[in-house]
This record gives sequence, structure tokens and C-alpha cells, in this order.
Amino acid sequence: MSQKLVYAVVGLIVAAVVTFNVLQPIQVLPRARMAPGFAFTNHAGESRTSEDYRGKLTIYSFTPSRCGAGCPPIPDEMQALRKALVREAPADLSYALAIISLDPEHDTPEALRRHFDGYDTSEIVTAAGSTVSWDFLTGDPRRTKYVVGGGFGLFYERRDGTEPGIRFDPRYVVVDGWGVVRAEYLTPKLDLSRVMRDLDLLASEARHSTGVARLAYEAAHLFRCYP
Amino acid sequence: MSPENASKPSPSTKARRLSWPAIVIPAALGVVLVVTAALFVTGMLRPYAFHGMVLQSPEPAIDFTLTSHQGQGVSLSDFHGQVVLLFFGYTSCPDVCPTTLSRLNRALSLLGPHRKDVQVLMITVDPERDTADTLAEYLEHFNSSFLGLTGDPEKIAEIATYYGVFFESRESDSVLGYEVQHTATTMLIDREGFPRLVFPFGTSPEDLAADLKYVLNR
Repeated sequence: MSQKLVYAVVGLIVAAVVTFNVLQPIQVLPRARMAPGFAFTNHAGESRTSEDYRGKLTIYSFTPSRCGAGCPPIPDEMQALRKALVREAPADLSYALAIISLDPEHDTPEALRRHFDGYDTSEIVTAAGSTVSWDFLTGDPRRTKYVVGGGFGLFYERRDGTEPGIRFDPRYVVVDGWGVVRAEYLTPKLDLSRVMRDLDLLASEARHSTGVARLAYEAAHLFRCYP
Repeated sequence: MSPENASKPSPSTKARRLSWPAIVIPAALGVVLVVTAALFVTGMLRPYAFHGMVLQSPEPAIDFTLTSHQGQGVSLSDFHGQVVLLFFGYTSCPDVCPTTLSRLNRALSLLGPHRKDVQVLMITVDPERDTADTLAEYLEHFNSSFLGLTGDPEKIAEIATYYGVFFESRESDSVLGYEVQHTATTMLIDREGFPRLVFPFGTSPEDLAADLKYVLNR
């Protein structure tokens, strides 16, 4: 009888450990690094700093407005993401989309407004009651290099005489409300289901940021992010 | 009942006889459970919950060299082996900077002898006005061990960008006629030079000190 109890207890412990590792009841995204600080102007001519995005889950991407055939369709991808957010974004959080111009010498706010006129950038309320904003950002060329190249780690260079003129590796970066980089997708085309799953994880973590639940999440960070 | 039968153990007596592993193993498990619960309740086994936001960067913080308020070139790497608290501010800052520096000073005082293992660095976001002398005079009001750093504005802008700090000078109605809007977080860089924690403005000295003690004891 007692031996059976021992086997049962040991079995339960082993099952719990295996279940935690296989099923991963608490999943977290690593807090990789601070996103860069910046002061830009959006397509409407309004000031936008990194502080304006605090408290929101922000998805950044990068492109020049003059981007010829073969250029990664960044604005189209962001538009599709915006629609997905409106349909199924987790509640209780605000979301922001931001595309930073890689051609700030040409991309004035007016140029951005003219070029991206076909995209609906108005702030919108999702089915769950959250908000989604969308900015096209531009600013001082040298500071842009610090932000995009240094801070977001995106390589880009101007190639005179070629089309589209600026070569860059497409990248999408998810930054949480603390200004911490939580996910990056180095792809021209977004896997929307993956992005929504990651945003869901971040929303869940934000909802459980107090009390015992916070301890569980911090433990998950400890075990999951320091392999 | 015959005498032979009386000397044999009955089936029920046989079932109750326990082997030593059946006694020792549950007892050991019980002790482990009780000790674990006690340690958890007393906080010794509970995972430490930082007050600042934890960073899990696989890369060390970028190094930089600026001029200290003592007029010497100072690099982040000079403080390898110490914990660094990095803050961006300026001497004409009306509220955020003095509050933050006062709290950092109080937090250090709560560390006792370990305070010497922590170095506070304030990089000015107003390098055109904050000379070495200005910084020296300003920081003396808070803690003589704090180091103020200044340098080329573009270089400071690049460093600030990397550390997630925005700053922008704007005209204002203040006596000075300007103010510098800036991110007011403080970053903790560990002894090995990795960014570990970010404290928002308003973190109490007690919370700062608790996180510092934990990092220092690791």
C-alpha cells in the first residue's frame, strides 16, 4: 500500500515536470533588449517619440517610400496585420504599427502622406475594444541611422543607380509597453498566425503582471529564456 | 487452533509488516515537502521578483567613452566588476532628474558597505550647456561618488538611442526658456557588463536597493 503511494507521488512529480516542459502551460517571449529611443515626425506632421509608444504593443517595420518592383511589400503586410488586429487582437491593450522610412532625405511627412495615401492609417477600435494606430515615421537621416541601424539592428544601404535604390533586409520588430524588444521576424512576408500568437502571449503576460501569477511568469522567464 | 498455526503470522499481520524502503522513502519525501514549503513561505525558495523590468540580453551593453565631470575620459568598461546604474539627465532639469538622483543616493545608502560596488553614471542630454564643471557642482548636491558624463552631442545621441533613451530640446515657458524632454528610466548593468534591469521613473529607493542587493549577491 505504502509502496504504491510512493510510486504514485513520484509518478505525479515526474508527470508534472514533463507536462510543464512539453505542454508549456506558461509561455513567454524573451525580453531581448531595449528598443531604441527616438524622436521622429509622422506622416501627418505630428511629433512621435519612443515615449509615445510606451504602454502599447508596437510592431515596427522599415522601408523607403520609393521602393520599386521586387521591394518587400512592407506597407501591405502591415495593413494585413492591422486587419488581423481589428478582428482578433487580445483585449485590454493598445496596439501601434510604425513604419520608419529608410530614405528620410526624400521622405518628408508630406511625401509619406502622398505616397501612402491609399492606406487607412486612422486610429481604429478593435472588436475587443482595444485601439490600433498606424504611423509612417521620418526624421533626421543621421539619427535614423542610429535608430534603425544601431537600435533595431537593420542593415540598409543606398545603392545609387539601382532600383529601388536602397537595399535592406526586411524586418518586423515587436516592442512591448516597457520599450523592450520581445520578438523579431526577419522575413518579407509576415506569418500572421505566428504574430497573433506572440501578441497573445504578451497580452497574457501583461494581464498576469501582479501577485502570484507574476511569480509564475517570472519563473517561466527564468527557465524558458535561460536555456 | 493448533500450536503450529498459532506461531505462524496470520495473513493480515503479514500485510501490515512494512519493508524499510516503504517507511524511509515516504518519510524522506515528507521531510523534503515540509522543508520546501517552509523555505517557500519564508521567501528563501520563492523566485525573486524584481521591481525593475528584467532584460535577458545575450549581448553585453555597448561600450562608450565620454568625459567625466572630473575631466577624464571614462568608459563603461572601466566599471567591469561593479554594478552600474545608468541614467540620462541634465543639470537644469526641473524635477525628474533631481528626484531620480536623490532616490539613487538613498538606495545606495541602504546597501551599507556594498555601496562601493555600485557606480552611478549620469550622461547629460544637454551637452551644449552641461560642462564638466556644471556637472561637478550639480552632482555634489546628491552624492560625490556619482559621475557625470558629457561629450559630443551626436555621440551622446547615438549612445542614448542604443540605451532606449529619447531626448529632445524644446522651448518652454520656464526661466531658462527651454527644457529637454527625455526618457527617465535608469538602467542597471551587471558586474559582467550585461544590461539586466530597467527601472521606471518613480521606483522607490527601497525597491532599487532590494534589486541591487539581489544582483550584487549573485
